[in-house]
Amino acid sequence: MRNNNAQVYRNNTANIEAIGAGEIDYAIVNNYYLGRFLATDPDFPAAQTTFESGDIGNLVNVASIGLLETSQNTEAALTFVRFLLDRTAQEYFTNEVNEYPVREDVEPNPTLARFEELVEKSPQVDLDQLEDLEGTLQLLQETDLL
Amino acid sequence: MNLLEVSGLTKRFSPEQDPVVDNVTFAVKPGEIFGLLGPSGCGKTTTLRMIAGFEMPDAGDVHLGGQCLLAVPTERRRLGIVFQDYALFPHLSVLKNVMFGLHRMKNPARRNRALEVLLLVGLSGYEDRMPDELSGGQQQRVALARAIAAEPELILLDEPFSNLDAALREQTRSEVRSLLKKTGMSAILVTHDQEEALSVSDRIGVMRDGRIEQVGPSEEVYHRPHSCFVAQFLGRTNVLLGVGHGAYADTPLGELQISEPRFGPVLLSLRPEHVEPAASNNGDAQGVVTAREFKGHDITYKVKVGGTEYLAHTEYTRYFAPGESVRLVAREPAVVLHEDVHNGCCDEPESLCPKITALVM
Amino acid sequence: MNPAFPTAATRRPPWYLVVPAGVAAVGTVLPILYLVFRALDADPQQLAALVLRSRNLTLFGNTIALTVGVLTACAILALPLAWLTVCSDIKHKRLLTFMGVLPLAIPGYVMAYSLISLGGNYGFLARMFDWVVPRPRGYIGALAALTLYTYPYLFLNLRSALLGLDPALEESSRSLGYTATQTFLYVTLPHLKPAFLAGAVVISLYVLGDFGAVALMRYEVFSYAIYTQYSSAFNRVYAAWLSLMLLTMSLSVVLLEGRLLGRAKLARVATGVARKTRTVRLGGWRPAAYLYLTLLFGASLGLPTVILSYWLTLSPPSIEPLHFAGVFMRSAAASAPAALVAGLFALPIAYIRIRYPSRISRSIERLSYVGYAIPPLALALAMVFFSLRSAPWLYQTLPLLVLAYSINFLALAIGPIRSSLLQSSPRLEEAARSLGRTRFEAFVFTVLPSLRRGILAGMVLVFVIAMKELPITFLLAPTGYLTLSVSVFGRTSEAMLAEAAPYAAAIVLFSSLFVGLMLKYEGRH
Repeated sequence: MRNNNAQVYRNNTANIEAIGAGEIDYAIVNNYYLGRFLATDPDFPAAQTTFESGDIGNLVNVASIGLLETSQNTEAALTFVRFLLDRTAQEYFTNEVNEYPVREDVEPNPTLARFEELVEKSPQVDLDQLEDLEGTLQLLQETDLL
Repeated sequence: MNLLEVSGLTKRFSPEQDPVVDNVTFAVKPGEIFGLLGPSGCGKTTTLRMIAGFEMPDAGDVHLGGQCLLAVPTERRRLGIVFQDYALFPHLSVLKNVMFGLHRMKNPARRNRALEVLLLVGLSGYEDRMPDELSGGQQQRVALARAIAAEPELILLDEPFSNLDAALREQTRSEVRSLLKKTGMSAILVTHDQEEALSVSDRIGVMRDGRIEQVGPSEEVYHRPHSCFVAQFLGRTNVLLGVGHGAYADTPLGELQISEPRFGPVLLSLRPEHVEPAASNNGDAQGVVTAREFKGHDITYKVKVGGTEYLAHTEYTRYFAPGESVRLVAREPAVVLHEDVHNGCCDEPESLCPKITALVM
Repeated sequence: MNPAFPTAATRRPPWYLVVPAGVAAVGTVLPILYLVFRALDADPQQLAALVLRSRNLTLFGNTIALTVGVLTACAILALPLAWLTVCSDIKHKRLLTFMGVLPLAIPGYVMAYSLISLGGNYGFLARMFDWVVPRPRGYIGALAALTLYTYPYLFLNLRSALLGLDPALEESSRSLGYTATQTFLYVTLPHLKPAFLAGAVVISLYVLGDFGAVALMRYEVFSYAIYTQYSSAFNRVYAAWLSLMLLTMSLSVVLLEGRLLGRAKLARVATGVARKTRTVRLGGWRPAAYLYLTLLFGASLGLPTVILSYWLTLSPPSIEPLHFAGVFMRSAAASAPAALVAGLFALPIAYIRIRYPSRISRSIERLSYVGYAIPPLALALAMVFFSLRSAPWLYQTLPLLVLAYSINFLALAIGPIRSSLLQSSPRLEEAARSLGRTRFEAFVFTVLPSLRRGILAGMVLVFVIAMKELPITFLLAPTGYLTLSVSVFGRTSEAMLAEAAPYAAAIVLFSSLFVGLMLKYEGRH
């Protein structure tokens, strides 16, 4: 990335704005931000694409929720988890936030690419191995990106 | 019995510097107006502020009615103060300013007392005005009314007339004096204006460099100065170096009668009004008129004798032209100054003391 | 007139004033100590790696470059404006002065966003007029945004210096054979030095402490790096070190100003009664002057106004009035107590400083200025460390936010109180004492009434500045406590421009009030 003179923007949104402004050609962002731009302005000059099949840039990641073993309020926490997994909440994530549902009984968002297609292109990565925050930060600091 | 006794009062603002007030001692009698006179920076205001309790003396004592004041905070010293800038409370009306110091009284009495004092200073009808709606003279009278309302034992007046214009000043002075006399109040007047000190005070103390040089009734201090400084600060004077031989002394103006017997070198003060020029006849001329100041009721001449100029007054009828030769005639004995002839007053700038410079050299 | 007496120098100030003043001074410095503790927490090896990173040098260089650049640009903008509104025969001077100060009402992040959304393939100009200009960013972008909203500080200072300049100085220079230009260079400019320094120190502190504008412009300076470390990298130790480095820079600026001013003061003309200043005819230069004014106000006022209006009309925001009112009230509920606290503590500090000058009272006042000089992000971080370590019950609460505002803006409240104190004679208190009132009564009945305006002005100043404050609010506002500034910044950084516009407009309108008040206050002197 350094060798390709990658630009650093503050967040996903800033990356998409930069594409709109013509400052950069591509940005690696989570897929669901672009939808908001297109929803308010269908002419917004950016579109979703993918890397070659198996490229790390195509990573399909999951949004997770966890429960602390030390939690003193397990009951309420479980209720909240159930709420998030409930059909209403999943429909909200799918249609308003442009994400993919974890329930099969929720219709996928028609404006997004098919989920199976994305999984096919995604590289085989054990998501549990992505927890090394220290190592990531160190890498970023060594390359003077942070 | 004295009302106020100040003894040995001393104050330094920093240890390295000379004291601003140095061993000052004087007393004020009941019903008396005492003037504290001196040039700016002589320590008179600091003395006043120590009496008021705004500054703590390093040494010395202040007694009011027999009670030592040093440990007493300002608000319990039973004093009234009129400040140079009056220090009227800008957010309070005239009446409320006067009522401010009467907080120990209950209301009808408090209000009535304030109205009474305002009547006394001639400001009835101005009760509801705000201080900034008054003229300078009126503000001054409110300040005075405020100070006397609670009937303090002593009033301190700090340059109270200096913010008034010349015409108003003279009138206000005599009003203040008669008001103080009418109410029988005692007061200390701090001023750098000798005319003001002389006309308002019963007695004055002349201060210089933190010390009191002379204390006495106004006339005495004026007519019988002890030092060169007092002689010159209280008005214009001719300082002469003479050689005494009993009741007379030989001076550059000839042999003069002197105020007290002396033998040997002596410094003398002769006020301009105590010497007058006279026409010379038969070559007894002493000097030449170099300048004249016509002041309406009288004329002051400058007469040059032996390289030094002397001042002499005459009434308006005596006319001499510049260049004319005259004699100088003393009308009073010259006052013997209690000073070492060689120290003289010559630590003063030359402009203040030209004659002595010439004489001693 | 009597010489000014060292009033009651020999007497000590009353305890009921010294104690709160001392508490305020200690309270200001306390968070910094926590910052130091936190910074020293790291193990030495990690420490060396963090402190000696070459990246710190880059950040340092960037920060210096930005500060110097903004100061230069501000001088270029402010000096002609000050000269035009004081010395020339241009019309509508009052209006021009007002317009010159008005940019203070526009928060830095709004100014930055206005500039950003102007350019680019899909920006305002491209969509309205088909002009494609690159979006400003980095050094130039940050420079432009910061200059356009901080130059009024320099303008105000230069203006009052020009107003106080004795015209006889310039006239005697002319009579000694110098041309108008030479006179300006050799006589007028040197006399503006104290004013320039006073304005420069305020602007420098703003530039060092600014977070919103540099973050939006993606220019890497200390404050931006602190935020990244704190929020994304979760490296609190490194954030603390960066904060300390930035704090050192701010304090250096203040000390440097004191140094330079120490010498410049000797040459300062005592400002006495207002004199009539000579006006210079613009003549053939008039069109150039108007062109300059058009460009200046077009950029500093016209641009944000147009952009804000554009956003407002782009898609009419669907904002619930109740929600909006809630956001406004939350800003006010944090700012109003801060104004009150700052005013309450500023009073004893200013009072003992003026009436009981001593080394202690001077130190107390200086310490309170440290609170103003601390870059807001560093202060916020210090408050986080302080509360987590010593007062966990304060963390994530409104009182902590109020406390941080109060420390940061205490010095702002001191200013107006100080100047009204200087105008009220100490003789008033002495008069009250001589009239039988105790020291406390004299304070309550004579000092307080004469300071009413000053205290009020100080509190209003703090209130309005706190309303638009971003960095401290961003870090310290309790979770879910959405204020105006956080709403604007949060929405603009998510490109929700239309949604951000009403909040931004509310800040600008509200802050304009402050500018009006400030001018009114200044006009009385």
